[in-house]
Formats: sequence, structure tokens, C-alpha cells
Amino acid sequence: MNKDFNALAWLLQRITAVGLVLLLGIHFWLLHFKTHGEVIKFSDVSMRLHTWTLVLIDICLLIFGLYHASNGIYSIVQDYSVGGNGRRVTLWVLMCGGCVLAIIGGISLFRFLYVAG
Amino acid sequence: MKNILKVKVFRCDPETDTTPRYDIFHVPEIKNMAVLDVVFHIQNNQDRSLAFRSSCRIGMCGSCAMFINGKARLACRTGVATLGTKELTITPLPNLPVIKDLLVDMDPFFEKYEKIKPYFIPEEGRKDFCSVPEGLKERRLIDEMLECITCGACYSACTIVTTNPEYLGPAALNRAFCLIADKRDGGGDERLRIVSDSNGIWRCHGQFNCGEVCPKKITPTWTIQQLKKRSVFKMMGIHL
Amino acid sequence: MKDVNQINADILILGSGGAGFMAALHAYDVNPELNIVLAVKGLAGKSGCTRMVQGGYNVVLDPKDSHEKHFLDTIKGGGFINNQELAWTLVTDAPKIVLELENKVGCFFDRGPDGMLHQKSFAGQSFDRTIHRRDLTGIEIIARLRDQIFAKDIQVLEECRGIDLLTKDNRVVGALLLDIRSGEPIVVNCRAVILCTGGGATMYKIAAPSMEKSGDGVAMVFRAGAEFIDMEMMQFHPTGLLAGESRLSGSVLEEGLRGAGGRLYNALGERFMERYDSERMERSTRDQVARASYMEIMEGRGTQNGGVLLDMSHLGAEFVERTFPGMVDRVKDIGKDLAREPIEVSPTAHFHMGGVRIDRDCRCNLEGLFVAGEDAGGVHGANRLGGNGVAESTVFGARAGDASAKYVSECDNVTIDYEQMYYIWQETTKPFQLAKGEDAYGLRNELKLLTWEKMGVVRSKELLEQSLSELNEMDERAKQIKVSGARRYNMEWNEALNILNLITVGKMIAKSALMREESRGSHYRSDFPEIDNKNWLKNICLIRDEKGDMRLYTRPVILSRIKPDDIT
Repeated sequence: MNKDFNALAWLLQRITAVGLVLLLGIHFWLLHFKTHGEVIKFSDVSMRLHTWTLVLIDICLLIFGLYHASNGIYSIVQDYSVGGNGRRVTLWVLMCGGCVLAIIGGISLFRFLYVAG
Repeated sequence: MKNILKVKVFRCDPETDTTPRYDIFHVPEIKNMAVLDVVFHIQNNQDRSLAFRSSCRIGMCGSCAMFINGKARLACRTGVATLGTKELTITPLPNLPVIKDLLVDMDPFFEKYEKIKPYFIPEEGRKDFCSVPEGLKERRLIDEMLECITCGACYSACTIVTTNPEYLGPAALNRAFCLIADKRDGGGDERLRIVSDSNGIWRCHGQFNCGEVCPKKITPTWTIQQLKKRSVFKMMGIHL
Repeated sequence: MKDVNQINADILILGSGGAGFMAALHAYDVNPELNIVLAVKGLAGKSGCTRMVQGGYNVVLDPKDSHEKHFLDTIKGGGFINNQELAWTLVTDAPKIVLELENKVGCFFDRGPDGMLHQKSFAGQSFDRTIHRRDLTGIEIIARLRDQIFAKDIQVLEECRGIDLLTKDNRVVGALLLDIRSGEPIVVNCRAVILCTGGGATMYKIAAPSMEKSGDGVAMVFRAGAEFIDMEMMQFHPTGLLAGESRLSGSVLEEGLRGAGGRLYNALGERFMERYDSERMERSTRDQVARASYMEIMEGRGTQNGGVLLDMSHLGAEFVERTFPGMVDRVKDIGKDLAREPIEVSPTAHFHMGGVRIDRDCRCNLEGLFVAGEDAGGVHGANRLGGNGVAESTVFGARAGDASAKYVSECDNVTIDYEQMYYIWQETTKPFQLAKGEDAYGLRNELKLLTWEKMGVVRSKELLEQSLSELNEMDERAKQIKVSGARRYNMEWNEALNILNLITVGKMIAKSALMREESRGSHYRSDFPEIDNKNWLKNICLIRDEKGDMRLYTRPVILSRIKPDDIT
């Protein structure tokens, strides 16, 4: 593994951690305070996600969360000195899985901008 | 009326025993008794087959590190009176192979120590003593951390060492910092590369177990954090 | 006897203190192709006394200082019986060795306001020349030296103690070692042996050195036929911490305490140094202060635990805590505050000035053997100055390394005598064969008490003769020590071997002390309390005779550079 990759991964873990605190804060605030009524209805969500700002916030939340979680899992794998092959497989599964989930999630979010209603 | 200590001691000779056991000894307490005095009393007077290591008996060599009442400590610097109980449990240092009874094999510890190139690499062409202003801040940072006596207490307290046998460990990384931060040393870049390995500084999660047990009051967590900082700056192209 | 593990090497170094490590590094630098083996009784760099050095290292660095001044201090401190060439070598080599320690080995000594090495004041010196690292200089020197060994291809055998040298045709050709962990022998066949195992001060009831030290090297080269010098000169450090029966007792509270202004009081509250050296008071040399304390204690003016009181409190708690952090911390272990209250101290057996008689390149009368450090004698004469000890071991360790590397490049290897080796091993394992016998620990305690009471700080003909006859008796008993259990890391067996060596060294001390009918430096005779330059400006030498006994004779001191009359 490239040594600089370790440093970058570590740095991003901290940046995403701070980011997540902020983004989750906004997310909870939106869901708790900005929702009218007791139940969160799809139409409320759909209306909120018509704006670019909120879509971008949710995309950041998605990407930060996926990165932080995947990197966190990989870190635990390294902490337990899983063998070379196991490590590599885990890394690729996490990277690919993370990308796939990011794309699916991203597309879902973007869709909201163009859906009527 | 003399106090009698009840001492539970880990016993195992891997050559002959399949499982370890605890032997219980009763030891009369003397004034200023250190745990080292306790094990010597047992070995001299009650069971001569007990094996343990010691040398300077004043906390300078680090030979007598043991796991005493749940914490890694130097036996010579642990006063029985400070333990707050008359019941002692003494086992060998965790995370290291047992040679016999309380004696552990320090080779894995020193193999990792060696990996970070713990020796000073002189800069080319220095002929005279390096002039260093008295009380220089950057020197003060190193000075506290230079006190390490390689006793192994931090290494046995760290749970990442337990889960990952390849992890370099707090003592090795602390030593690496002392040299990397030393302006007189010429091997800083190479050492930083070595400690920035997956099994190096990044495995530290800030437990502070090491700082809690260090008899010289060193906090490797802090020095490892400094190394992480340096590694990140290097990645970004900033040289400290 | 099954096959013994054999190692073939060029140089075998016994001991890993300042001398052993410097010898290894220097020999390696002369020729990295050399096969160098370093055997240590404990863990590398962790056993021995270099590590325990607190005060510092005397070296001429300041232009206002001079080699002549340092030399003169050393000779005066040594009562004029030093080997002047060795002393001169010490003071002239020290500056380049210290530079090497800083710039090559990586030690970092404390700096002064000018950014250069801080040199503090130390007793018995005419100039402030003692460099240091806080009050724990030894750890820095030894740890950095040990780190350098990792960088070189030097084989280190840990927990392997030297049993005896192997000789053939009047040459040292190797050694028999005991691997303490396995209990098995290791035989080393080599072209040169460097001996740096330290001395046997631990034979005394109150002693400073690390516990595994037991004069192994001195005893083994005595058996091999080496010539010794100044064996009666055993230094007692005046301020050893008293901590009751705990093993913490005897450890040194460094001289810098007195150098900084610490005061000594007896139980009556008197600053008793007034009566012994009113000019220098507590900053007198170690032998003077130790003797003064001893006499106060013996004459009934000592504390209940048999000590005197060292008081630092008048210097200000903040100053003491800042200047001597290591000691303040250690004294806290016995529930006392060095910065704020008087501490009980006692003279403690500390350093053996006597040893193998060597030349400037650490050669002795045995071909193939080099000796450096405390094992060697002659550098310090009758009393060692504080700060000259670690200087000696590093300076002469380096010289031994250089000289032995050159020597092995010019000589052939000679195979060992296996008969000799098997015989030694038989004797070594004898304790296991005895059905019943002496108790190792009981005998050790008797030895400690005997030496302390009868051949310690104050000696006399009567006491020394008693010492010798008791030591002879103990020697016979020591050969009958019975040991049981497995050989693997058998602490009792190792203690039995320690005792045999300590008794041998004890006899050498007692015999030499008996011969010297005067008082000089650390050697004090109550029946001959004055110095006698007319009859005794000589060194007492000792060697093994054909029967295995000790033969003593004198050699006049060669006053090659300075005479007592030159100083008034």
C-alpha cells in the first residue's frame, strides 16, 4: 500500500467525521423541526429535495457516510491483522460496494429534482 | 503484628507444563517493600524454582516489568503500600511469549523497535557539537520522550498490539519520533516512511493505555499523533 | 556429553556496559567483516552500571580548562598511585569520545545558556567539567549505544553469562558461556576476548551496583592467570539511600547533590564534615565523606537505621525538583521528599578501582585478552573521581575495540581444548549432583555481612585476617552449595556461581588490603591511619600461582608525568 494513501485516508476520515457531525445535525434538524405533522410523508421529502441545496447536502451526507463507514471497517480489518489476501479482498469489496451504493444513492437523489409533485 | 501479604503468582514452564497455574504464597511485609522484594522473598525462601528478571532495582533498566494487580508496572518501583491491598496478583507481561513464570521473551518487542531504525544516523559533515539554545521548545518536546527505558509496559498495555501482532507498538513509534524530530539526525524521511506503514502509526486509535502505564510518564499516544501530523503534512507536500 | 553448541567468532565481548558496547562498535568500524559476538548476563544494555550513572561524564571541553588540570585532579583523587599513562590517556581521549557520543552515537547532553554542552561542578574537580543529561546521564549513553548495535551486524547473546576463559598454549582462545534461559553451555572459539563485565561491589551488605553483577569477569581471568593491580581499592559512595531491608537500599543518590550544596548531618544534628574536612565540607572527595559518615555511624552518632542524614531542603524545593527530578522521584518510592526533608543515607559499596593490570590499549599479561572498564585497574588509583567512571569505560572500551580488531587481523585462530571445556562444565553443574549441601542464599547473606563489617570502609590487620580465614572457609562451603530443580533459568544455580566468584574477588581484596600498611584514598587502615609516601608509593599486584593460590607483590608507581612533590 502506498504510504501516502494511509495518510490521505486518515485525513479524510477526520474530515468526513467533522462533516458528518454537521450534516447529520442538519439532517436531524430538517427531519425533526422542518417536518409538519408527526409522520414523515414521501411528499414532504419529495418537496424538500426539489432544491439543489438540499440534494447536495444529502449527497454529501451519503458520500461522507459511505466513506467513513467503509474506511472504518477497513481500519478494523487492519487492526485485526487479517491476512494479505483477506485484506485486499475486503478493500476491493468495500471500494466497489461503496462506489455502487454511492451511484445508486446519488441517482435516487438526483431523480427528485426532476420528478413532478 | 506484621502484615502478611497474600500473593498469587503465575507459574508456567512451557517445556513441562501444558497449562499455567497460580501458586499462592504468604509473604511478611517489610518497611518500604517493593513488589520486587516480594518476589525475591518468595524465590529465596519459599520456592526457589520461581523465575523472574531484574537488574538495577531502581527503575532505570526496565528489566522487571510485570503485570501487577491488573496493570503493567515495574516491580522495583511499585511499593506494596501503594497498591492499597494486602492481596497481590502477579503475572507476566501480556502480549509477549512466556519463557518461564514471570519471565517474558522481549525479542518481539525489540524486533519491532529495530524496524524503525532506532539508531541515530548522523548528518553528513558535522565536525563540532551541535549548538542548541538552552530550553529550546522543540528540544523540550523530544526530551520528555527520550526517557524511555524499553521496559515493555506500554507494549503490553496496548490492545492493538494484542489484536495485530504486526503493529509496531507504542515504544518503537515513540523512539521513531525522537529521532525524526531531532534536527541532528539525517534519517528522518526514511523513518517517517517506515512508521507510515499500515502496521505503524495508523493503527493507533488513541487509547492512552500506554501513557497510563509508562513508569517514565511518557505518553506515546501524543508522540504518535505528532507522527500522524507529520505524515499528513508530508503527503500534502509541506515539510516541517 | 552431548554436542555442545559452539560459536566460532573473531572477537568475543563479555559485558554490555559502556565498555562492551564501545568495544563492539569500534571493532566493527575498524573492520565490518569481523565476526563479533557480544555476550551479556542480562538483557543487552539493561544490566550493569553504566546505565545507572547519574552524575555525569568528566571531559575537557572549555578552552579555559586543560588536560593537565583534569589529569592532576585524577591523580590527586587517586592518591598518586594511578598509572599515569592510563590517566593521561583517559583525559586526552575523553573529548573525542564525547564528540563521538554526540555526533555519531546520537546522545544528547544538556545544554547551557550558550547552546553548548553544560558542564556542571562535581566533587574533587578543579574545573566545572562534568557533562550530563539531567540527573540520569547513564540511561542516555547506554540506550543510544545499544541502538547503534542494532545497525551493525553484531551477534548479541542475551542472558548468557561467562563461566570461564578457555586457554591454550598461554593464549586466550575463547570462553565457556552458560545460556541462562536454557541452562545449556555455549562454547565460543575466537581470536580475542574483550572483558567488560564490571566489578564485585555487590559482595557488601549495602551496595550500589545492579544485582546481577558479581565480579564474574575478575574471578574468571584470575583463574586464567591474569595480573591484577590495586585490588584493595574499593570505593564506598557516601550517599547510598537507606530503605530498610528493601532492595532499594544502597542505590546511589548522586554526588551532584553535594556538589550543589547538600548538607550532611548526624543524629545529633551536627554537620559532622566540619571535623573531617572543614575546608571542603560535604564537597570533599568520596572517600573522605564516606569514611566520615561511617565513623559517625560506628561511633553511635548515626540514625536508628544506621545512617546519616542528607538535607537538600535549604536549597529550595523548586531548585531540587528541577535539577534532580530522577532522584526526587525515586526517593518518593520510600515515602520521602528529597526536596523538603532530610533523607537517611549510608556509605555504600560502589566501584572497584582495582582490576586487571592493562596498558593503554587494554592489553594485559594474557595473550588474546583485552580488558576495559571497571574490570581493569590502574586508571583511578586509590579513589575514583565522580564522572571519571563512565569516561573510563567509554574511552577504554573504544581502545579495546580498536586494539583487538587490529590484533585479530594479525593472528591466527587456535582451536579450544575440549577437555578443558568439559572439565569446567562438570564443575559448573556440580551443585545439581550434590545430595545435600550448603544453602546459597544463607551463604550470600553471611558473605555480605562479613565483608561489610571486616573489610569495608575501615580496615585493620585483625579484621582483615579474620576476613581471610572466614572467606577461605566460605569458599569451601560455597563449593558445596546444593541446587535443585530444572536447569532452565535456575536463579539459585546462578546465585551459587555468583557467590563463588564474589568470594574469589573478596579474597583478592582482603589480601591486598592486608598488605598495604597505610591509608590512601578509599583504603583506610585504623592501625595505619596516615598516608605513607615513603614506603607505599607503590601498587600492590596479585596473580595466581601454580598451586592456584594468590601471590602478591608490589610495583613502584611510575611517576612519568608528575610527582607528589610537584604539588604542594
